[in-house]
Amino acid sequence: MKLKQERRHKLQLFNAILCAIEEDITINKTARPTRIQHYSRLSYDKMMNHFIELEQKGMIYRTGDGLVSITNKGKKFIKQYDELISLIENVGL
Amino acid sequence: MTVLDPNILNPFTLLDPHISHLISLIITIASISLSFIISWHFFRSYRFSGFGYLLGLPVGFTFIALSFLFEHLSLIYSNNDLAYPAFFWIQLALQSEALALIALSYRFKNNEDAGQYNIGDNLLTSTERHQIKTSVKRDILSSSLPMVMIAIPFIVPISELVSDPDFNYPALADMSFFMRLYNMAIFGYIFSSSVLSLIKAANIRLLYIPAAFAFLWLEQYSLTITYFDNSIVAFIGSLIARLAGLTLFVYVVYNVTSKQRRRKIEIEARKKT
Repeated sequence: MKLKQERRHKLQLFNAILCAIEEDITINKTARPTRIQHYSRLSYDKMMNHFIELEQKGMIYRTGDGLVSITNKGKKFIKQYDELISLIENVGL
Repeated sequence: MTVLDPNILNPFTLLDPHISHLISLIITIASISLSFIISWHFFRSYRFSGFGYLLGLPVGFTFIALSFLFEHLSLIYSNNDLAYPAFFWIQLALQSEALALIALSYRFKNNEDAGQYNIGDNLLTSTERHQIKTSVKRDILSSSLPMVMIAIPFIVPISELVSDPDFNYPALADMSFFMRLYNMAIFGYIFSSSVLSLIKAANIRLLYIPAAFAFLWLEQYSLTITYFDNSIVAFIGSLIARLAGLTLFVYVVYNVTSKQRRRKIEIEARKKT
């Protein structure tokens, strides 16, 4: 039986990736793409495409050795996203 | 003993004239501040997400804030035969339009949820096709509802103005009664939508917002009582209900920001384990 996975909104995907980076940095001091992929439950190719977009938006930056880091703009995004979801949930929308 | 005018427009005129302006000013400042706080938070969320259905809330609460301003202005100009009914008329129209906009947010969100199914056309059985046709008919009927909701607070006051350009006080008072009935119906819709949504999300403990809408419904109900018997007690009750509803709303909005800290605590806890 094929399980249908709910399609995620782009904001949701960005948030999943940024949270995964933040969590990985908090726990392991560094964020590696494989671990981010594990946390965010995305395919590697899709995740790399989102990395490019997030980098262009200035929310993350990648170092030469493949490690990923989150910028202040990225942290602000997570905060705003949490606020949005909380607000929508609380208001019953 | 003075006999009260049976067609009072602004109920603040029922209060002692020496204190009515001060009380109105305090209540208006508090109501406008609370409404703008709510509006600002929803506007920020809309700007961040770009979700169209969210726009009804900030615009709606801005309209509500403006309606409170016009309510106070109508009291200030209560001796002016033109400004008094004009400001009262604007207040009624703005308030009802505001509620219609808030209700639209809930309406469009429900539509969005209902439309989240993807079925390949070639895989449909005849029964499924029939079900889709029925749901399309239902959608057409239900899509006209938002237009009706928006049109009523616009058409009713305008028709009143067109039929009687000199602002007939008793007719305006009657219009205010019907508009308040409309407001109560809209609040009923918003209340049921928010409760159903919270129950679906198994989020029953977050009943603050439905409670806030219930308070605002109570405000309208108290105002209809005031329309019938010019009761000061009912009017004061309506002011308390209004402030309680708006305060509860602001409390929820502020509570949202405190949730941010909880996530950091969760990550820190995971780090330690």
